[in-house]
Amino acid sequence: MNREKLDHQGIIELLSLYIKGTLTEQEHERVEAHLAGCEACRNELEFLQDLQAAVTTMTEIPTVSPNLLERTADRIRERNRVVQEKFWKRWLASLGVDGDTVVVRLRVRTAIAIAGIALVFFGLGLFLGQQLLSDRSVEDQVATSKEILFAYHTPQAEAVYLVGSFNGWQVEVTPMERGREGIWTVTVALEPGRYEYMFIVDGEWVTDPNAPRTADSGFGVKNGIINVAGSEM
Amino acid sequence: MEGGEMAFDRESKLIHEIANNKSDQDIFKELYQLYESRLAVFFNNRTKKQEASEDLIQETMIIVWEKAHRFNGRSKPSTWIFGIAYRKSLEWYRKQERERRLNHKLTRTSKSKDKDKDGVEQKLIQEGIQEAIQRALAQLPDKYQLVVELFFYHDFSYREIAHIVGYSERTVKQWMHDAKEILREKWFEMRFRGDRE
Repeated sequence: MNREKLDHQGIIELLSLYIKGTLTEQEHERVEAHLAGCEACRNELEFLQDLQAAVTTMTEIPTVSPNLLERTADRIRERNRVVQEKFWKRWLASLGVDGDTVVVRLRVRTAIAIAGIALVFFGLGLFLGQQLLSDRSVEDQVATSKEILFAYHTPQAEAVYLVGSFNGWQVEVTPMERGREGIWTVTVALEPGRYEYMFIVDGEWVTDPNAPRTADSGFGVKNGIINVAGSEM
Repeated sequence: MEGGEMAFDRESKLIHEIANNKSDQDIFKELYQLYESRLAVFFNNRTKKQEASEDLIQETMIIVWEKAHRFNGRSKPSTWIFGIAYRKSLEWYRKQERERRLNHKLTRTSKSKDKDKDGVEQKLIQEGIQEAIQRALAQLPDKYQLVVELFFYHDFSYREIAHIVGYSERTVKQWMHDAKEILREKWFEMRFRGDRE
């Protein structure tokens, strides 16, 4: 196939990313080399620049009432209250009590019940807490945060996905974002636990070379392993 | 770029903190402040009304607060929040449409638009390329305006826009392609007007 022609179509596609400044260095150079010799592309670029300028200049930041945040916060407080009320009503209903009138009569009994339950949970919490603390030193604490940033360096790739036990090894549900210098990243919120994962780079399954540990996947390749320790809050 | 990624981490963290502690108003307020003007731009362009826009900002942020536990970090926080905002704007459109139909039945509205048509023609002669594009853009179907705005103003990628509006990336690209086609024609007309004369 004619390489020039192929490149022309490709360049047109890249031009909007070119003006946004999100191309990789290589792509950027490719676009500039092509622009020098192609008038049609230079016109397209000028059009896109005018379009971008038109969109940004026509969009003034509208005035917003200064108390809008407070009003929103008030609505949230109100909802919190309603939700709590509903919770107690439902809880009482589950005890065989219905209607608002009974609430007053039952208050003492429910209070005792709640206190009893709370006491049991408190005791259980203490016990489990102690257990966890003693286990903690043994666990390898690769990450204490629940926000895990996965990163992979591959400048040539078109699409990179993260797959792992946390997303059911589903392909294409966790796309990674291309950043500068061809580093692809995604942040995933993970509950404490042990997870296995891999990257899919343009359809190919790749082991993270920087994985804290790896394990045999059973498919002839290794999965990366990450242990997310519980955060101390 | 690093700044951008840090902001994105900070926002994810705020959303998770909201999910864990729904009565901490300071966390909510911090997130709210990061989004108020972006959402104001978004809703103002859809509704053209400050009051409606403010209601929608409130409703969007309340949903963010309510559903914070549903945010799973698979997308950028901004994509998630704009997805909610987009669905809110659709609700608003539908409500407007219902009201419009109802009013239409009650009173046959008079057409007041003819009046400023002459003014528009006059203005076209003097306006520059940018104004011409803006005018052409304002006349495009809503979905085309939306995709152009999300891409060029809010700086989302095609994939992110697809996520926000719930269509495939291919469809979003097609919308952009169609929008550009119309706008490019206008641009050519203006840009090379001098050359032909």
